[in-house]
Amino acid sequence: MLDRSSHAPEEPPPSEDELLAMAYADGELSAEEATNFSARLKAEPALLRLVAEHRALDVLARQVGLPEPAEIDWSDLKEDRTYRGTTAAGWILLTLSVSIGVAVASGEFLLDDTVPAPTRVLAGAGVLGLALLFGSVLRRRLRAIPLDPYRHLQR
Amino acid sequence: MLILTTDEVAAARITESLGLVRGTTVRTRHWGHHLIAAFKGVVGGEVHEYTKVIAEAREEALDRMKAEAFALGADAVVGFRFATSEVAKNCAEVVAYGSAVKVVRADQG
Repeated sequence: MLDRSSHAPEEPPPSEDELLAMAYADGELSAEEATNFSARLKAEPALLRLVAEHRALDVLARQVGLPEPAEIDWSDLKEDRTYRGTTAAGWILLTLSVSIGVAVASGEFLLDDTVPAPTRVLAGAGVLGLALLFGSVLRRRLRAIPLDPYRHLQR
Repeated sequence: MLILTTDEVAAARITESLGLVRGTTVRTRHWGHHLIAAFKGVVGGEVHEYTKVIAEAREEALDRMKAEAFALGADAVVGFRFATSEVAKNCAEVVAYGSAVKVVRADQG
């Protein structure tokens, strides 16, 4: 029999902050402790990520089912060169055509002298407004992804 | 915390009802996943993109309900149910709800 204990790397004991983050995520702090810890979370992004990581582990631990044959086959397919190549090429072509198409169509419309200037200004403002709104939503989502404990769930 | 679909807790006695607890969420995936899902709709089979979003919504709603039960000091949630609906196209809305209760072991006073 293999003696795994002699090869297992020794993990350092959890810090006080790690223990507090675990207790906070598990709802085990008293009301006063939780309030104090919540105040620290607003000021310390590293602590916020610690809580999010613990929550993500907790959520994953509930997934007790074994992988199904179809899932194993699907993950193999994702590694397949042809599949990866065709999907990557598809996304690149689609993204380029949509973004360049929107930019060219907007430019042509805004520079078209046959369209009254107020209409062009309004349309330009509308396109810019949509772009700003999308940008702010995208930025918010990108910041929230690491804090989303459910993103690793599959089924 | 025990989450049960039954109205009773086996081998335990409910000593106090703390009221309704619930958790709600609405989740979706980005546009690219919906596009792939639409193609899968053409060829058939499981649409993993939507299986995943339902799983995420289910666990998030459950956690929110549990947090509410914790805040009330509950030992268990009985009569637990999930409900789903669609508030927007391609969005999964899940509501998890039940009754928060305090319990003691049946062999204790």
